[in-house]
Amino acid sequence: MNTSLVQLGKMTYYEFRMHWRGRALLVVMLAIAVMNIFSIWIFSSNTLPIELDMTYAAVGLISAPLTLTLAVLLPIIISDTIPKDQQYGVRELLDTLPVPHWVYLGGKLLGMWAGVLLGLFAVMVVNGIFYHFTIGALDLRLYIEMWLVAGAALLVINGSLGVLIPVGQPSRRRAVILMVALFVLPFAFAGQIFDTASLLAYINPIRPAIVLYYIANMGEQVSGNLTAFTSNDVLLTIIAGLIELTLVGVLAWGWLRWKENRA
Amino acid sequence: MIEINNLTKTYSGNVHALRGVTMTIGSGMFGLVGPNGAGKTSLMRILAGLLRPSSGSVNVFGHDMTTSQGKQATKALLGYLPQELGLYPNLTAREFLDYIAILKGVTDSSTRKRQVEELVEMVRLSDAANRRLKTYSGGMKRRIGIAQALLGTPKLLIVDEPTVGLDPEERVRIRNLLSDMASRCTVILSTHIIEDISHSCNDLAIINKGGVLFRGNPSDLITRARGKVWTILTSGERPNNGLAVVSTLQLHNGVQYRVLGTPDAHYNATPVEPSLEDSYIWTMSQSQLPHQEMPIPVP
Repeated sequence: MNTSLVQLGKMTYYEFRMHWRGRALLVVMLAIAVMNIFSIWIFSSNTLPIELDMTYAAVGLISAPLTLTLAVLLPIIISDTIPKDQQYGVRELLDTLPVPHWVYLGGKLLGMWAGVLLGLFAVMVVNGIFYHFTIGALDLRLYIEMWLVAGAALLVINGSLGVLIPVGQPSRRRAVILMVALFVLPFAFAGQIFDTASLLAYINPIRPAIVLYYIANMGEQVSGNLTAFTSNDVLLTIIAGLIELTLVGVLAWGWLRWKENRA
Repeated sequence: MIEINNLTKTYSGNVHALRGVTMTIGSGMFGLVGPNGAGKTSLMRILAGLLRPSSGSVNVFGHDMTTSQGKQATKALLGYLPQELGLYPNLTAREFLDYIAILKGVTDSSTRKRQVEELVEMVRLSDAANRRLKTYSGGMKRRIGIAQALLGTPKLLIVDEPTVGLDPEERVRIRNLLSDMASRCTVILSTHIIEDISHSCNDLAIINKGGVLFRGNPSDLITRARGKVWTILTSGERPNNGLAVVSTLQLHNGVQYRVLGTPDAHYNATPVEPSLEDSYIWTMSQSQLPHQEMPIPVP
């Protein structure tokens, strides 16, 4: 097999292990699981003064902690994936190894994806079982769709941006500050972007269309019209996110190359 | 063969790390010695492809290190131990070595496994190889650093201060290990521990303030200081008058000083055979004398 592909595979494997041994990912997954369980438990106490379609309510309930965590918290938590090489003092050694830049970046990304996907799968199963036994049967198709569309899309787009954007940061702290600025500050403009299906909403790092789409399914029953986001907006947000990701990926690769030539 | 021609490296702020260094390094073990800030690490980093020279040329086994292709080709031949190597704290030693081996291009799993096991055994970490690296002491981390540099049977091994932080027994082991490696590849050992050089290198350079003060073999360096090393036994004051005191030994009948220079007759000094350390200190002290030309590098 091609040397670069073998390197990519093994790097993915070790990055995956390091993500799980680093505890941060475990904390994120536990946070999602616990928030979901708490929501379901509140919901199951049947104290809400309204009648809801339980099918939509289930995904709406679970999507809120999932999407917000993946959209905002995940990029911050994993932002040290590349800067930690510098901080641990491994970067200098890595720079002397015959590893192409695309393998390095690809290994970091795939390792993170693999780690998060495993965690999300576990949370999906645990939350699904908990819902089933506390409230009742789930609409599995809708439930899995929500995890795939909201979970996987946010993981691939925002998770990858969380790895790639801080590529030039020399320390974990700087990486975290940068990502907090990028992924938390947009909340300051929440009033203008959360209810507007526009280009600004599509390229917004919080991905409001994805975050609100499934909540809105439940919300519409509660308040009539919480949001204007449709499945079309979700699709456009994913496309815009993938374009952003491609651009950031090319820039990260270019930065590594430039740094190598400048050294 | 490594050929370095008129190599300079100037950092921002007009800091000259290397000033026109020219030398050729053949096979075997080559020692690079000098005080802190002499330019050793800059030279090593240029040879490892981590740093671009300001001017001059470096050719490593026929690969021009000023070009991107040359750097890439050299990386495939290189084993490198930086001065301050960090490790992934959450990997075990075995995992870390396996990871580095594959990044070095050792893609065959059985070859990789064999190499990792041999090296773990060689640096005497077999018992701790399944422990996470965050539990390792400084010396153990250093040994893992040396093991990773030897992965992939490199043709050029660059080790920067490899024995720092090791106990005496371990230092000897690592020195012998590097000497053994020198029969199969070129080893460049940078250190300020002269003892490491004297026990293992057949070729060396002394570097200071970015320039080469001496280039040759250890016996040539010792010859330079012959007739300049003395012992003085006195119960009086510490010898001075331009003498450099190398060591002080308290004896029952006074204090014995080992000095470099030309002592006055009243000291009743006894000439002694210089060690490599004496010669190094002599060479360094001569380079710092005012109005004296820097010694010309020996090709």
